[in-house]
Formats: sequence, structure tokens, C-alpha cells
Amino acid sequence: MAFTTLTFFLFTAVVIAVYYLFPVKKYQWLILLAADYVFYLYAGYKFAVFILFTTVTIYLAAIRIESLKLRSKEKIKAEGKSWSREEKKAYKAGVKKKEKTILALALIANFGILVFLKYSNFLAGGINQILGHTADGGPLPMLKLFLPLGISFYTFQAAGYLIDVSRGAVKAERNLLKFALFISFFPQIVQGPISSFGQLAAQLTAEHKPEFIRFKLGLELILWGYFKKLVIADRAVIAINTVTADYTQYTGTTILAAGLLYALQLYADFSAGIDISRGIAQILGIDMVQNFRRPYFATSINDYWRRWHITLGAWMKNYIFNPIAISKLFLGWSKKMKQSGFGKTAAGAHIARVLPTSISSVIVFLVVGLWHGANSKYIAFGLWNGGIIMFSILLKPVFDKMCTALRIRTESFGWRVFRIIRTFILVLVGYYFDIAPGFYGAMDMMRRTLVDQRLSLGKTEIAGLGLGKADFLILAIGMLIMFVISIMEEKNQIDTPGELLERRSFAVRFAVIAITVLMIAFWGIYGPGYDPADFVYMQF
Amino acid sequence: MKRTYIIRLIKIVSLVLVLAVILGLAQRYYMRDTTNNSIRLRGFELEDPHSLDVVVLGASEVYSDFSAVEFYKQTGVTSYPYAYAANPVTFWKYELREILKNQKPKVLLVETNGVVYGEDMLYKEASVRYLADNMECMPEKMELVSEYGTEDKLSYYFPIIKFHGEWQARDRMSNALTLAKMDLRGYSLLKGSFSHTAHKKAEAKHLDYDPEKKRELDPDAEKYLREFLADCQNSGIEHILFVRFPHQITGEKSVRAFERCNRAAEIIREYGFDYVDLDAFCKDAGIQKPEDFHNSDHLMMTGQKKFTDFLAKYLTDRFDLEPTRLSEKQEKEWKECCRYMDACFAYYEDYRKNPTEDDEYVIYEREKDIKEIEKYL
Repeated sequence: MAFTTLTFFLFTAVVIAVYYLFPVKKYQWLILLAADYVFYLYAGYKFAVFILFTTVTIYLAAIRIESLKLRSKEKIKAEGKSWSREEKKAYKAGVKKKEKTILALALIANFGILVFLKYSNFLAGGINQILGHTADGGPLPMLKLFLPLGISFYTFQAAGYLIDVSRGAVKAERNLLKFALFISFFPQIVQGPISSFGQLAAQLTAEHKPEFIRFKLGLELILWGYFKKLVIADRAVIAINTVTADYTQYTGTTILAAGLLYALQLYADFSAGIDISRGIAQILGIDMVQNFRRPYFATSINDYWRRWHITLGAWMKNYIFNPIAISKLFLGWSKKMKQSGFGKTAAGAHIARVLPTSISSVIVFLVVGLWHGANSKYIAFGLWNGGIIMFSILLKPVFDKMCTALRIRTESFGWRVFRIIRTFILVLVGYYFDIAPGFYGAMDMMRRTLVDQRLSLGKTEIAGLGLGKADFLILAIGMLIMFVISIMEEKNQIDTPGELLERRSFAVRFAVIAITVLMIAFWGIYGPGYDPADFVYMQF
Repeated sequence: MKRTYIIRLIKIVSLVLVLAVILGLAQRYYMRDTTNNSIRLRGFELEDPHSLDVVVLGASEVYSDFSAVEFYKQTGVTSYPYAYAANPVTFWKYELREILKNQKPKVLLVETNGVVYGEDMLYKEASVRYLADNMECMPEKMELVSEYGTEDKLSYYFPIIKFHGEWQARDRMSNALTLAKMDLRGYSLLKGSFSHTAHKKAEAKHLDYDPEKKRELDPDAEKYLREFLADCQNSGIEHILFVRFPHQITGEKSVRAFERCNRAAEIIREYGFDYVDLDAFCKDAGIQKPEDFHNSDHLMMTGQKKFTDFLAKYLTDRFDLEPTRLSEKQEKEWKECCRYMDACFAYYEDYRKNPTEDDEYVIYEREKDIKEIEKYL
């Protein structure tokens, strides 16, 4: 049930109506749970087995871990002064070990499924190649596997919850159905955001009454999402697909144009999906966490990842980066380095201080790359981002000195613009890994972009990418609208165009909404013959 | 508090209304099929109830070879070509219902080319679309769409779903303006005429064929023909005549079509209706082959005039047709149509003197042609 289908539209409308008309508000959330499973089963009944498995295993593991914690506290309290400090410590360590075992088993089981379904063919192919065969012609067979809808998203969300419970950051949910709702909330299951239990769960099960302002802002957000998806993303993808189908037929100029269009499409597509999700949630009285904050205004790759797919970044930071960066191993390295001769120099001290952070960044982005897909190009994508972050951390003092030497006013507007453009170029290079057929393809596309710039031929080629002049004009208008709105949001530090609109007169609001609807109706890519292209992040 | 709710409601309703009006208008005139076929069918819908004495049903032969305005000029009898490109027999039963919804013609002339089609032509999406887009009656439209619609069903009720992406298509604005002006005017100026003006003559390598030979129809085509004939028997129309308009037999395909028409004639007669191959009267009509033909199936504008003049005489003689009794307003409108048709011929004559390279040029009731025609009024 793609977001751009009438079925989804009607389904959502019915869910909202039933949700608010349900007489027993205390159990209103059951309507959401029912809707989630209808939505999920609509995608395929086989998928439901996997989400049920995750729900039940994580639910039980969380309760078990929390019970162990509680019992351990009670036991220590009960034993009081009869236990020595060492005895208490030993008991705590034993309990902690049990907790960790349960945590590890639950995570291995759930990530195991994800890894098996998503990466087994990739791994088998790799091993076959190592053994001197082709990827699909070696001793390890390629399996015909299907990927359950939203598996990466719900697995990460569930895992985050379990780790939080084990850390004592949140209480375990005792009601299985309520927990099932947290895992399967339909607006976010397809492509996120990856919400934390503390942020989302209580809202899902709270009683909600219809509020006009929520309906208004929610609908405006949904409208904005559809504009970005149907007018911009699904138009741009036509040209991108034409080029990527066989990029060797095109000049570097056209490949670069496809890369730029991809930057536009990816942002429009992903943020559109999130906006539609958030808009629906908002109408249902639920505030979902923001997943984008104008990423192309980022002034560094680090900043970009704080603005792009924020919830994935936050998840990685909480559950991978921090544990690694402050692990005994990494802190030990850092300490050793500081104490060494090299650590006594200014550069050495800096490197010793930031080394855990920078190596953790590379590891995190390697995981981010793998999260995106089972392909060497995604590993390269992760390493590219992680590598840049690592070097920017390690070389920060050098850059600072350069700025001082060149008398660059780092607070100036010009410098900020320069950094934005520089960051965008680095991001764009990373996108080549996305659109290329594989790692070597990405490298070749980059090479062509650098050495094969032929403007006149490129112009002719671009005209033959399946989009007419009017389409490019619509893309330009769409991009301009997105850019202006982004600037206004950045300036006012707000996250939705609806909030901007609230400050305007009725006439302006009326005109903007009407024009947006008409632009979607007239310029949107939809109707017979249109494949409601899955949102890009659905595949992840 | 109440006031707030009322103001809110007014705002929402006004937004919905404004959008509905804009989208409704866009869909009615622009984001839809706006080809000559739709213009012709819309023109038919605009005819005053019970104001047409003759209706000609069929495919492209009908609107290429027959001019309702010329027919009126010759006989004073009102008529209209209920026709669109490649109109297959499949949908004739629906078309008959559409015709009878507002009209009570004395004569229904059915051009039989639609029965010779094979399966590839019987269920063409375009045919369903032409018809559905111009059907006002919801139950019949629903029946047609559910039975034959192959695309997203909703798009037959909201053509904007299909056509919104074609806003840059050639002639779209011109044709949309035509539809809008036709609605405002309340009638069609050229009554669905579609005139080929190609200056290159159709090449004719006439094949020998057996005029008596019959070839079986596609089984589906025969089924639909029989259904249609049964409907005709119950239609209450005084005279129903099945005909074949002039064709040139220039290839195997046209021989096959001719032979299938012979078989169709047999079936038609089974139901008590008459079938006439009007091609046999070409000489009487003064139609020259290949000079008056655009291609093997369609006449040029010169041929259209000659054939319509012939048909006028043929039908009035055969069915004792009297000039249609019209109201003052209707008569004024038909006279205006005649004025336009005369100007159209004058435009065509001039065009022939200086033909463009565009060998497929056609004149029909679209804004850009009307503008040219108006120079000759």
C-alpha cells in the first residue's frame, strides 16, 4: 500500500475517522494497532511472521531484563548489611551477565534475521568470489529471499528499545499489544523515522481528541510531502533511471546532471515520505520525531548527518558510536597514546584525544553503509562518509591554523556559503555510490565526471533523458520552492512549512494551499501507466 | 465558540469549492481527451433534445466522408455523425443508448466498418476512453467501465488522473478552447465534420476481388453485432440502415474488410435490416478514385462533399425525409453552421492552391482551424 495510492489515502482516512469516533477513548490505541496489522498484512501475510517474532522476542527479553534488574535491587536491599561489598559486587556482576546474555541473544536473533534476509546473498557472493568463482556461480548458492516491509526500521527501533531497557533508561512495556503498536505504527513502518520508546510509546497509547490545529498542520505537512514526492522526486527519477540504466552511454556532463538530480530526488523523496508519515501521526495526535533539518545547508559532513535521516544518526550514536568511543579498549588506546612520546607533542595529544571518536565514526558509517544495502558500493559509501569525518576530526587543528593564516573570518556569510557548497560536493560524491550499479561503476562514473565534460553534447543528451523542457522547468520551480521554504525554515528555526503558513493571513494561506493542490494535480506524476515508485528508503 | 466553528467551516468549504471548480473545469476542458473525437461527441451531447432526424453511427469513415452541415444544406434535414476513430462494434450497444437518451432520429445509418475488426481492435483502450469520457449517464458509464475499462478505473470518472501529464500535448489548448467555446455557444459549429485536405492523392493499386465472397467475422465481433441488432429491433427507430461507405480496395486488408462486410450483411439481413454497399454508388456520386480519397478508407474534403450530397438525395428519396421542423433559434444555429461550412470549403480551396508540406493536415472544429475559417466568413 504505497503512500501515493488512493488505497492508502482511503485507508488512512478510515483509520482517522474510526480512531476518533471510537467511543472508549481508553482503548483508542487498539484501533491503531488493528490498522497497523491491516496495513502490514496488506503488504503480504508472510511478512507478519517476522514482525511478530521481533515484537514477541524483544518484548519478552525486555521484561526479563527488567525483572532481573528489579530482583537484583530487591535482593541487595533484602540482604542489606549481611552482604559484604564484594558479595554485592559479585552478585551484581552475575545479574549483569545474565542481562547481557539475554540482550545479546535477543539482538542476535533479530539482527540475525535481518542479516540473513538482507545480506546472506551478498556474503555468499563475496565468499564465492574469494574462492575464485563468480558471485552467483560458486559453491554457496544464491537464495531467493524476500525482505519484509520495513524490517530495517522496526528491527532498529525494537533493538533501541531493548538496549534502553537494559540501560535502565526506559521501563519495559508490560502490555504486549501496546508494545506491538510501538513496533508496527503504520505511518512510520515503511521508512521511519526510527523513534525511541521514550519519545513515541506513551503518545501512541494516550487518549487523543481531534484538534483542529493538528488536522490543519498535519494535512499541510501531508500536502507538502505529496508535492515533493509527486511533482519533484518522481519526475527527477525518470531522467536518473535513464542515465543509470547504462551510464557508459553518456558523457560526464550528463552523469553529473544525473548526480545532481539524484541529490534533489533523494531529498524530495525521503523527506516527502517522512512528512506524510509525520502529517498522519500529527492528525492522530502523535508527534513524531523530526528526521530532516535542511541537510543541504550543512556546513560539514558531520553536520550533514545531524540533519539527514536524523533518527538513524541518533540511533547509531546512542547504540554504536558511544559504546565504542567510550569502550575500555578505545579509551585504553587513547590513554596509552597520550602517555607515549608522540602523545606529548601537540599533534599527538590531539590525535590521542580524538582517535576513539574518529575510529568510532568510521565504524558507525560502515554500519550505516551496510544498513543501506548489501553491496560493496554501500560499504564504500559508508567509508567515504566515515573517512571524511575521521579526517576532519583528526585534521581540525590544521584547518583552524589555515583559516587563521589565511585570515578567513569563519563567522562570515561567505565562509558559511563556501562550507555549504564544499559539503554538498562531498555529499554528491557519496551519492555516486548510490546511483552506480556497483563500486567500480561508481568509480568509473566519477572518473567520467572529472575527465569527460562536454557541455554541448551533454545538453543534447540531457534533452533525451525522458523529460521535456516543461519537466525541467517544473523541476526548477519545485526546487526553487523547496529552497525558499528551506531558507525560511532555517531562518525561523522551524521544521514544517505549515508553521510558516500559520503566521500569514487567511488569504495567503488559502492561496498557498490551493496552488499546492493544483500543482500536485496538474504537475504530479501519477495515474494510469505510472508505477507508484516506492519511496527510495522503502528498499532499505 | 460557535462563531469560530462557523468561520472555520466556511473557510474549509470555500477552499474545497474553489479547488473543485478549478479542477472540475480543468477536467472538463483541458485535462481530458481533447481530440476531434471528443469534440464531436461533445457536440452531439449539446444538440437540443429530439432535434436530429438522422444520426450516422460508425468509425472514422463516418466523420471523414459525411458532413452533417452539408447534408442540412442539401435537404434541410438535421443530422449528426456519432462517430469516433476505430469505433468497434463492441460498444455500439452503448452508443445506441447514448443516441436515444436525448434524440429520437427517424433514420439511423450505421457504417459497418466497426464489425470487420479483429480482437486487437475490438477492445482498444482508446475506444473505451472516448466513449466513457463523454458519457454523462453514470450507470451506463459504470457498466461500460467495469466491463471494458483496462486502465485505472477511477481515471474514467476523473480523466484528470490520466490526462494531467499531457498538458503540453500538441493542439491541447486549441482543442480545450474549442470545447469550452462550444459549451458556451451551446452547439457545435461544424457538427463533427473532419476533413482531410492532403494535397497528395492516395495511391491506389486496386486489387481484383470477388464481390460475392464472404469471410467470417471475429467471433466476438459477431456476438456484439448480434447484440446490437437485437437492441436495434427494440430501439423504436423507424428506419435503420446498415451501410458501407466508399472504400478503395488497395490491399489484402481492404479485401478482408470487404469480405467481412459481406458476411455482416448476411447477419444484418437475418434481423430484418437492410445493408447497402454505398461504394457501388461512387460513380453516381461523382467520386473519383483515387482523386477524392485521402487513403483507402477515407475521403478527402472534395469527396466528403460529393458523397454527402449523394447521401442526402439517397436518404431523402428512400425514406421520404422532409426538412426538419426547427425552432427559430435552432434554424438560426444551423444557418450559422452552414455559413461556417461554406467558409471552410473556401478555406480549403485556398489551401489547395498553396498546400503545406503537412500531408496529414485536417480541418475540424478546433480553435486554430476555426480562426482560419472565420477569415472566409
